[in-house]
Order: sequence, then C-alpha cells, then structure tokens
Amino acid sequence: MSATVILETLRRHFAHIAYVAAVLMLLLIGTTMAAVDGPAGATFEIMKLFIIIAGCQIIGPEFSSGTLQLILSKPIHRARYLLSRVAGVVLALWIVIALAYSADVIARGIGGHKIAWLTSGGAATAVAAQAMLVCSLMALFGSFTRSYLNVALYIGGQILLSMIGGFLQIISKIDRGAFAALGAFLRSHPGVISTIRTIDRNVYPDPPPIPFDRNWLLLVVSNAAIALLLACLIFRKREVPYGAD
Amino acid sequence: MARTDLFDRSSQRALPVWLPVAVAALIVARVISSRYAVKSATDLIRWVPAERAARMAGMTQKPILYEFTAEWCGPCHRLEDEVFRDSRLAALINEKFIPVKVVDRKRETGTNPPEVARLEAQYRVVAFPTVVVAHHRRNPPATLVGYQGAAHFEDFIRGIP
Repeated sequence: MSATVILETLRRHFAHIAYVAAVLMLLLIGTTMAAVDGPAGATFEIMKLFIIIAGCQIIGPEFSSGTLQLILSKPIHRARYLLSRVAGVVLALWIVIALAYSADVIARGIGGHKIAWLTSGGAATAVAAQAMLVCSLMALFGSFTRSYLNVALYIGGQILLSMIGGFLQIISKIDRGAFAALGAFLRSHPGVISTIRTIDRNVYPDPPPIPFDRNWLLLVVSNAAIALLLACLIFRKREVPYGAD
Repeated sequence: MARTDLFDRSSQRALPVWLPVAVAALIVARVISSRYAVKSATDLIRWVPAERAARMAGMTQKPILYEFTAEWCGPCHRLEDEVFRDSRLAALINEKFIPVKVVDRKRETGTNPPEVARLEAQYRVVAFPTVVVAHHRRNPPATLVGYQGAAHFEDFIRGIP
C-alpha cells in the first residue's frame, strides 16, 4: 500500500469542512447522550449513515471528476492505489470512532455516571469493523459504477434483500389462495429463504449481541477482504478513458 | 532520445499476491472459529411477554417458542447456558420464533400467576424444561421435554418448518 495515498486521503478528509462539521456534530450528540447517561454505545448507532457517506467517495466519484484518469496516467499500481484509498478512508473513520469513544468515556466520567467500558468498547469495535466492510463494499460497487451509484447500490441492495426475505417468509406461510403454490414451493425448498437471509447477514450484518464476538468480527473482516479482492480484480480490468462521463 | 518512462505499464494491473493469500487465510480462520461458539455472560434471547406474543406472532407469521422453566431446575439452567447464551443458536431462535419464557413458581410460592397456569395447562406441561413451539394456524404444537444437549435442541428447532 502507498503511505502517500493513505496520508493524502486522510488529509483530504480532515481538511474538508463538511467532514469536520459532521464529526463535530457526531461528537456533540455523543457527548450530550453520555452526559445524560444515555444508553452506552448509542453514538455508534448514529454513525452508520456517516460511514456510508464517507465511504461512498472512495472510487466512483473519481471517475466522474477525472481524478482517476489523471492518477492512473502516473506509474502507480491500480490495486495498490485502490487498497490505499480504502485504507485511508477506513483510517479516517477509525479516528472518528476513537474520538467518539473517548468523548463518551470522558462525558460519563465528568457527569459521574457509570462507564460501560465493555458495552461501549464492543459497540466501537463493531462499528469499526462495519466501517471496514462498508468501505470495501463501496470500493467494490465503485469499481464498476460511475459517480455515486455505489451508495445507491449499497442502500438499494440492503432494502431489497430485507424486503425479499420478509416477503418470502410471509408467502412461505400461505397455504391457500393465489400464493399457495409459491408458499408450498418455499416450504419444500427452505434453502431459498435461508440463502437470501445468509447473503443479507453477510453483506449487511447487524451488530453482534455479544461485545467482541470473535466469530462476528471474522465474518465482517473476511467479507470485507473478499469485497476488496473482487474490487481489485474488477478495477484492474476497467478502462478509464478521459471524457467517459 | 532518452527514455523517461521507466515504469512497466504491464504490471500496473497486477494483483498483489498477499491479497488473495490474506483472503484465503481469513476464510479459513472464519470457518475454524465458527466451530467454537462464543458464549455470552447473559441470555441473548429477545424474550417477549406472553401477553404480547400472540399479537406479534400474528403480525410476523412466526411461531411462538415457549420455554417452560423453573428456578430450581438444573437442566433448565444448562439449556439457558448452552443454547440461550450461544450467539449462533440465539440468533437462530430470535430470527425464527417469537420466544416466550414461562417461569413456574409453584415450588417457591405455592401457586403460579394465572397466565403461567393457563399456558402450562394448555400445553400439558408436566416437567421442566419443556419447550413448545406453537403456530397459530398449525396443530398440534411441537414439544420437546427435557434437555439432551445443544445439538439435539438445534435439531429440534431446525426441524420446525
């Protein structure tokens, strides 16, 4: 990976007024919640949208702006560049997560409330792992889409998978009427619903019920690695002509 | 003319060797790790009060899983320790059923709350633990009396359509 690209990505984030404003807003909300002894780890729940917004700019928008065409005219390896960009964005998010955790602990300490080290730490670790997965998926979607379509794919996929899973679950219980045949098929082939649920759980995992769940962390990290590998495989073949957009 | 571009363009699209190796290592670690369940210090089931369970079951079309238990019952504690604190099995139960815990208090207080007594009579509970899976549109309910290990329990809940 390239330290220059990672540092430049970090610099771009923390020099961006919107990013800094969003971070300050998050810290303010987190501190306020901790000061009134709100639920431990709640700050990290509201960070998910922030992660998606930060993660969606990894590679897709660089096609549209022409930045990528310029960068790839230089002697730099495509996979190395992509991985460094992802690492930079993930690092920028991890810094925010660490700040939010510290703010939570300090605010609770000052407010004289009980500090839930484990619960809050577990939530921070989970959201840090999720940040890695979201950024990897955004890089994967961005490796074959243009502009901000990667975020549309990510959110659309999440809604679609959850809806299909729910609908099929309901239809599988129906044993009369228009959907009776489909219901019978789904009951005799339970693999259909479980496959959709498995894809949903792997791509959009809910936070684990146990802080520092080893199996959950490995699931998220390995899926992030698979997404990155696929992103690199697609990105190395992709043509980036000038004026394509 | 002096050559200024010393970068080998053909290698610009090469994939770093360590990446597929790291992916393979992570997948192997995940498969091995998943064989050893992670236990929680607390129950991971999202228990629903009995009075709300029927309404939720109607809305979600999920069957209700009743766990009939008692404080003094040793096998009940084993069931809770080995199944309800296991992240994988707990996730399966939370996803597939509306879980309801019914605690028998007859030995401690001499009598049971009316709702507990009604459910025990309805499902003919005579021993603990008893797990009953009831679907509002399917009869009769599936019943598992006693606790014979997590694998047996998993077979039971997976066998319910």
